[in-house]
Amino acid sequence: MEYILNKTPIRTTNNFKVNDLKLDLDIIKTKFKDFKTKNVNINTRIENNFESKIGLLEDKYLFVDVFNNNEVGYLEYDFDNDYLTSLINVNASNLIIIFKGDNAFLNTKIVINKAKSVSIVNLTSKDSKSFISIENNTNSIVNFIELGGKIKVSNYYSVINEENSINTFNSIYLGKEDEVLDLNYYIGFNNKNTKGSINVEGVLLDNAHKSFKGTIDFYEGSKGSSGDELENVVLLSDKVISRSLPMLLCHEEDVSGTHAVSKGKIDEEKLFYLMSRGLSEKESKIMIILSNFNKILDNIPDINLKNEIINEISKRL
Amino acid sequence: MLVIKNLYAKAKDGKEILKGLDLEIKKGEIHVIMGPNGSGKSTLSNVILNNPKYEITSGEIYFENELINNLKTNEIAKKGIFMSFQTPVEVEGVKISEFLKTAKNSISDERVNLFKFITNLEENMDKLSIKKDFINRELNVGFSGGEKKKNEILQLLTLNPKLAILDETDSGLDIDAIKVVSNGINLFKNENNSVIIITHNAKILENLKVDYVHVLVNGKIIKTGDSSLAKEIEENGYSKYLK
Amino acid sequence: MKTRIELDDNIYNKKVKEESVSKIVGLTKEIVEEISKEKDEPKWVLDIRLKALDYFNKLPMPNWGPDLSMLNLDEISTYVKRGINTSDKWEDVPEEIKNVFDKLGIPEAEKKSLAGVGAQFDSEMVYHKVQDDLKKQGVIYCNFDTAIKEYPDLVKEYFTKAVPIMDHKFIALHYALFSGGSFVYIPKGVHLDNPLQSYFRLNSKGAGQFEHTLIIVEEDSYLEFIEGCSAPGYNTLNLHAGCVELFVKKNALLRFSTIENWSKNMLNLNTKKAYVDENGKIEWIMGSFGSKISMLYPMSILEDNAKCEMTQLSFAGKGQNLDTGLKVVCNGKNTSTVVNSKSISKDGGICTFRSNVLVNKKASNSKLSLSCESLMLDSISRSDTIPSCTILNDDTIFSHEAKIGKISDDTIFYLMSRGLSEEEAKSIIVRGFAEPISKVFPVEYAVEMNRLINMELEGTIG
Repeated sequence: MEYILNKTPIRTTNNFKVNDLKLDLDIIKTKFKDFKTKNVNINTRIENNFESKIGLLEDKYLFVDVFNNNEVGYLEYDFDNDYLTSLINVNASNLIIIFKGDNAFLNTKIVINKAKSVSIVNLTSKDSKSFISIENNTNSIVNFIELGGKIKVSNYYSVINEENSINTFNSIYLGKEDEVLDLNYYIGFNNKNTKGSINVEGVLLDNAHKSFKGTIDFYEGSKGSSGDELENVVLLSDKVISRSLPMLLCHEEDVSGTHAVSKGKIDEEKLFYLMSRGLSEKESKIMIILSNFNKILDNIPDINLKNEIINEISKRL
Repeated sequence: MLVIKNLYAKAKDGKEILKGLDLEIKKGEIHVIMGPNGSGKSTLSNVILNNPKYEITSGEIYFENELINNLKTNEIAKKGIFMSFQTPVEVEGVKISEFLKTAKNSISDERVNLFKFITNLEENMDKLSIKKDFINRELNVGFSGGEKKKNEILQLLTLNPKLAILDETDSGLDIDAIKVVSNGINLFKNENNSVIIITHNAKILENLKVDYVHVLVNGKIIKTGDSSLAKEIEENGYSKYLK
Repeated sequence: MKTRIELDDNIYNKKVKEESVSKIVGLTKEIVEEISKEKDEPKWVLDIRLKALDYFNKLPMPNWGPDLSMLNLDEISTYVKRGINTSDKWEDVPEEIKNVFDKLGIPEAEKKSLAGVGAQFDSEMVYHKVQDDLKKQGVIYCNFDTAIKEYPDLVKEYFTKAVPIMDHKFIALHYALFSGGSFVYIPKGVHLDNPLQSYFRLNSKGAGQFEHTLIIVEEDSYLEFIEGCSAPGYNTLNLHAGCVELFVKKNALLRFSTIENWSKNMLNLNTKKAYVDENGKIEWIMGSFGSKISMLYPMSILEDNAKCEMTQLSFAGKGQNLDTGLKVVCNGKNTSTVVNSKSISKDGGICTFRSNVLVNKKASNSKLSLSCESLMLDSISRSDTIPSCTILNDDTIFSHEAKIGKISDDTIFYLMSRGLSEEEAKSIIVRGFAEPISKVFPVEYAVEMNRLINMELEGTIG
């Protein structure tokens, strides 16, 4: 069955295929498997007939409620050759959600109702397909590390409704071989003096094919709000396809919005400098890329996990 | 010339800053208002010019016997009050020459003679040692602190108001800026106009003939004296007034 | 307001009495054949028209961008013929039409600074002139209809080669109905010191204008071409679907400036494309003030070391939806693209900047830098930035920056403390915002642009 995913909020000329992603997919039905958890309480149950605006959820899914208090809580799903369709409801303070496994099929929606910070780490690999849809209904910081496998589709949706509140979305992506990445991130500003930002750092190698769509949308009445959007991607092969559509929509005079996209090869001066100090070209490149990623990785409240992510990125590079 | 009676004013976000301020400035006088941070010095100049960020809760401001509380900023400017800014705003794409011409036309009742205007402007630039091409630059865009200061003084001389309020709170440590300002005041000053200098540093007063020094603390003038008061504050600070 | 340049505002509303006009409503094969017959065209041109008509009927309406559903093609008289032949003597131009152009200052401008002037009234070119010394150097500047007859080989070689007839629905419509426009040929090594200028004007109520402009700038040559467009204020919807094809050869430079001040009932769906050969350069300068809806994205195709520069300003007021931007395709290596776009929206006006950039694999070491700034004068207006970019190699340097600005209260207070009224303060800030763009326009247009800005801002502040 053909699915049309990650539609942009406003359509534009179709000749460059940025409006949406068309994929032919067989959705695999839910299979139940326990999450590994730490510092959280969870309720799980299977429910039917869930309607979802975004994402790929089918009629039957695993329903997960997560609660915790002040500690960092962990929710981990490890599934080699396995599959999961889930809806994760977050009512926690600091939560880390990790997906791991080879040849996995991950289809999940994460709804954040209450949290200080949520870090979502997709470490699935090889033939894995992942569809991750994040909805943020509160003022939390969301960090999303998208390493994933063959197909990785993700979206983030948040409308800031409360006056004076802040919403931050940070993401890192990596694409290699002939992987397909489709990213669609949206923040709407619906009240006075709100702040929101989308920060995306990425690296592409081999034949990877990436489409990034980011939207900052100021509604009428969002006076005094500010929003910014940044995509910075390093291209390591001349066979990559890198599409970007960073939109800035504005229906209010008294706002400040900026977006910036920069794409390109690795800074040669930096590379030369590091190599003159004895690092190999490869080591130098990895170091430069990780230095771009660091300011996002620093937000992850677990040093061991951060190191695991860095190792994983280095391995894949 | 300027009479302020029992003035209470607050910032738009609600905090009361001026709490019963009285002040009278006569023609030909130079007044200095000193006070510690947060005493309400900058608020005073903004309230006189009716900056919409502030609100007068009670009290009156008279200029030449006319109540000006509710006049718009540009109407107050037209009456002859000029305020220099601590940090003048950058206005992109607008040349100083174009701006000055527009401003001069706005405050003058009659249409300004272009030739006279330019002659006068060039004279003033000479006096301030400003280079000719300066007026072709965009208003305050990318200016150094000293250039901004010079530009404010150039506007003061060109617009030639009856009362100049110079907010110099920040320039206390910059010797060049102090020179520009005190030199500018001496060029501007005559027996028919008046000056208010707002500062917390007495350095700026060294080359000026100051008539009155007022100490502003907590939104009120609590002491008035002659120039010796400035020296005393420079030596001893405000501590004895802060209780 | 004392700073304003006083000009007669009404000159843009001069209507000529409609007479001796055969209007054809709707669009059929017969109409297209009749147009071709009246123009006494060769068969290859008619074939293009008919093929285009076919595409027009088949192609869908665009499913993105501004809503065009108010457009009923059956109601728009697609062709207006005034029975006038192109003249190169100003005296031969009918009095009424001349009056309009006189008011717009066209002949004066020519006398002063232009190397050649063309003026199109509705569908026909009424006046075309190029200085004698340029003619001697081999410069051709004439009505496009004339070019088909007099320079068929040149036209055949280039016509439809930049913009293909099936590009989109409205370009197909254009090719079915094209009439008038300018043809310019600058031979190798000719450097024109003064610009050529074409002035387009839609005068008939409900008329469409489908002019075709084809410009070829041969190797090592230089040309500046200025287009001005306007229409008086009728209440009926007007359609403008013009087409501009530009060929910039090796080491050549073309500067193409457009000021559009169509009346607020115009649908302006214009297509422009430039092929830029090795080391050549295209400079687009665009000012959009008029029209109800504009969809305008000039495209540049860049070969090795070619350069593209775009400077653009849009000002959308009440009821206006100006959707403008650009397309760039980098085919060769070391290309460079610099875009500077500014927009101002007020009274519910919508400004959209839309760009499409494609950097092909061969286009190594390409540099692109796009910058968009928009100014919103109230919160019922809209300002959207929709830039898309596809990169197919690893050594392109691409950057896009966008910024929404507003007029800050501090700036207004500062200017008012110097005696400017709130209205004057806002106007001076807006003109300052537009300054980096207006300064690259020819001087008489820059004056005109400031006048338009002041006119647009007048009475908006309470």
